[in-house]
Amino acid sequence: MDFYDIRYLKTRSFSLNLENGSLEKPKYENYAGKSFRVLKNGSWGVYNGLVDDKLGLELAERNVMGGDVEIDQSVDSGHYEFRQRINVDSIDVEEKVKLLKEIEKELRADYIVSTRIGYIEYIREFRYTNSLGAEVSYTVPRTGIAIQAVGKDTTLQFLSKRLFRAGGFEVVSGDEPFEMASEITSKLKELLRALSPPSGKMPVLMDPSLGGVFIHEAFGHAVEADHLLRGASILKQTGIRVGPEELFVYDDPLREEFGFFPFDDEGVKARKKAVIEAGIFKEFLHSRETAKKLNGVPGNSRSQGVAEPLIRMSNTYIDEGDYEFDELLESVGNGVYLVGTRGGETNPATGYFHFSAQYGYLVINGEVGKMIKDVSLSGHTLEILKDIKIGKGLRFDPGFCGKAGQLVPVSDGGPPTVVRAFVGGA
Amino acid sequence: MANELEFQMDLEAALKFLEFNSDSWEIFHEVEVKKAVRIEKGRIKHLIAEREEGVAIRVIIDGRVGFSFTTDPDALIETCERAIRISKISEEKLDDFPEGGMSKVNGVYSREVIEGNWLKEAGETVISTVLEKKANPAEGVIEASGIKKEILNSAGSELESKETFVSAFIECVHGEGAAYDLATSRDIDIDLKRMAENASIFAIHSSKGGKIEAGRYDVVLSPLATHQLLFHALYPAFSMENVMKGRSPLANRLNDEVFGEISLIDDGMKDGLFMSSPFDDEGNPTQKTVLVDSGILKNFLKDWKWSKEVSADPTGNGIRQERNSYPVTLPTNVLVEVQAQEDYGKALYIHSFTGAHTSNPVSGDFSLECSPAVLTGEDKPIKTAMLYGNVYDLLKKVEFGGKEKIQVENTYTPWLKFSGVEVKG
Repeated sequence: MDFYDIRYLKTRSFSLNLENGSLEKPKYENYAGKSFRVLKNGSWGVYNGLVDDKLGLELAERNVMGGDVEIDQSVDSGHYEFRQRINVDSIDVEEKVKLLKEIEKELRADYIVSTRIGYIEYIREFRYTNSLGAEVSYTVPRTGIAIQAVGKDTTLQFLSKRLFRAGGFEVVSGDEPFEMASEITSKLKELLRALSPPSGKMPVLMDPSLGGVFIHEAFGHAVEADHLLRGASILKQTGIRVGPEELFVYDDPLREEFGFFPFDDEGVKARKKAVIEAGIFKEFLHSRETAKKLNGVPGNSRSQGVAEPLIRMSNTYIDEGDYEFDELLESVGNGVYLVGTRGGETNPATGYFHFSAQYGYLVINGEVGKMIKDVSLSGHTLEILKDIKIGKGLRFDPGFCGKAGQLVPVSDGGPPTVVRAFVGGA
Repeated sequence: MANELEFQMDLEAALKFLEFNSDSWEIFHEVEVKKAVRIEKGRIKHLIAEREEGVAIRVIIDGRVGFSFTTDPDALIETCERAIRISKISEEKLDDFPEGGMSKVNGVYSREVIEGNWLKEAGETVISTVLEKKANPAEGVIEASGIKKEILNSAGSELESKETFVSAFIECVHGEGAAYDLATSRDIDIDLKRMAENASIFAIHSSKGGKIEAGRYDVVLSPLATHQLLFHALYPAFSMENVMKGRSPLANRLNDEVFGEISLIDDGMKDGLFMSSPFDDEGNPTQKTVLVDSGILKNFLKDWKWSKEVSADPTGNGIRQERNSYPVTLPTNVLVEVQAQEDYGKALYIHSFTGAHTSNPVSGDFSLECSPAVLTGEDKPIKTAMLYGNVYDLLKKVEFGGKEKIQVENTYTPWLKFSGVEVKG
């Protein structure tokens, strides 16, 4: 065999779910898994299961077929331990429940018919070895709270917000979750009376949360080099201009946000990648395999559990620009200001993307007007960034990104930005 | 053997521990063996074999439910202890677990599926079918899995079943066009050719796609598009939990006319369908539940907990999305029944939606990109169009559907035709 690697994964998680003020579905999970990969005759054979290493490698080798795979043979070694400022195990379960119940009080109003507050703590213990002698291990905790409320008037509407980060109980112990809850309560009241959005191509001012999802969907997925190797990416080469001089986009797994990781799932040390610099597309994101083929740098392979490592983003963001918020509004003139995200989807092969905001506002003559609901945004990867205007004040929003059936924690960020896109709604 | 569909974890000690330390208990024990072949740019990329065994424990102490899951055979007692500890703070209420039982369901297990030797050839069939159509089989997977599950509980339930699942996906690319399709089966007879042809044809269509004029169109949703829309925008409304928690627009509408001439039936015991099983993930027998009969709302779906909350019988819809999750109310196979016709004539045919998961499940509102789509009659491929609306309004406009039903995950449906639907370019 030419190469093998073994991943050992242990995770522990604890989750609480406060539904309409009642603590439902509390859950503890303790997972152990192992994955064996063998590269032989230019093809991978894989076996995932809790068996001893010798048998695991044998079972993996049985699945080898034949092909032309070669890999980057970088060797990194090291141990990393993410320090929790407040260890989740030092806080009683009762106290965690109490926190959720306190937050829930911020969600009370006569128009709110349903609320849900979720708490999760999750600790990932990862160990990696390979035939090149690499020895990598790390422990990374993630903690967070998600808040959702449903309001009722003539229709039902919902709003949600999430606070998830790498870290311990300190992530959720400040004022932030309370502020999120009270904002949901006040915005939901307006949303119940919101107008249907206009439709057509128009200038769109995106808040940081929507701008983050925007860069993730509209550009980030097309930068994952596996799409390129399959002949299924609209981005064929680096070095092309995709946006103005002021545009800088990064993927940074070392930022202590929700998408943090110190080593990827192929044992490669994580690095910050400049995806777009001064408007020029600079770098694809790579696995060991695509890095070898395309002469890139590996380090973006990630897995849900011990599933097959895929090229994934981490913390992806548009860096800050120079525009003040008022200047951005003025540049919109007549258009929309969109806030928050309900997720999105993109097809890297065609470059078409689509995602939804939680709500928005009409912008008329550079002034914020009435609220609009159920509004979505679509466009094309190669066109959308051309005239982007970039504001100040970087913020991140956490989420789970799905690809080939696997979810991994990511965060997306940016300052407020303005683009021209197709807006639609119900 | 590492890949046999048999249990290896010994639950004896855990059972005794739960007997002594809880009022009521349930063990959901599942082992899955899986083989998957991956396709990348017209080649078989690799073969993966996998085995995972897990145990999910629910306990009830003083009417409070605790839950804990593990895949670690050395952590069974710790897992029981955690479930018990969690129950102390839980406000999840249950007084017992179901005695349960089994329905008779055929065609859900085939030994050949897990032998897996057919997978490489199946992959080659997909690749050659796409290449013949002159598209690039860019990314695909065919997965064959076997699941053995047992449910033991303090009410005396001792149920066991073995089932197999085959599922496939292919995304084809042609120029700047792309399209994907899915296929599912319980046996190795999975229709890979249809999937590969569909994805190829629509990838080619989408590469030549033009614009569509905004306006009202007759719209046809493929079985794939139908599933994507109904699963995200409609099915959550049938869950009794969502009804009781104010999250369903169908609350208080039993026996009202909610749709046009369409029937929706949740059938968890229909032979050979993808989500059929003799019992649900809480041990209640599966059954056939008419949700909507010719447009009239007839029923909601109930897992064990929500059946007790409303003093009704469970509908066999207590389903664990993953083996590590609590059972929640989910549809099994939703059979879509409409008047059947041979052909749909001139219409906007939508193969798949992008972003269906962004639909609003509490209002039914959606704004979705249709990609790819074709204006039949003119035979004009459409690169992209936006469909907006509300799933409840849309289902009032249903006219008829095709003669042949196809299963896409939870939905068993023909193509469906709707009249006068607003489309934006």
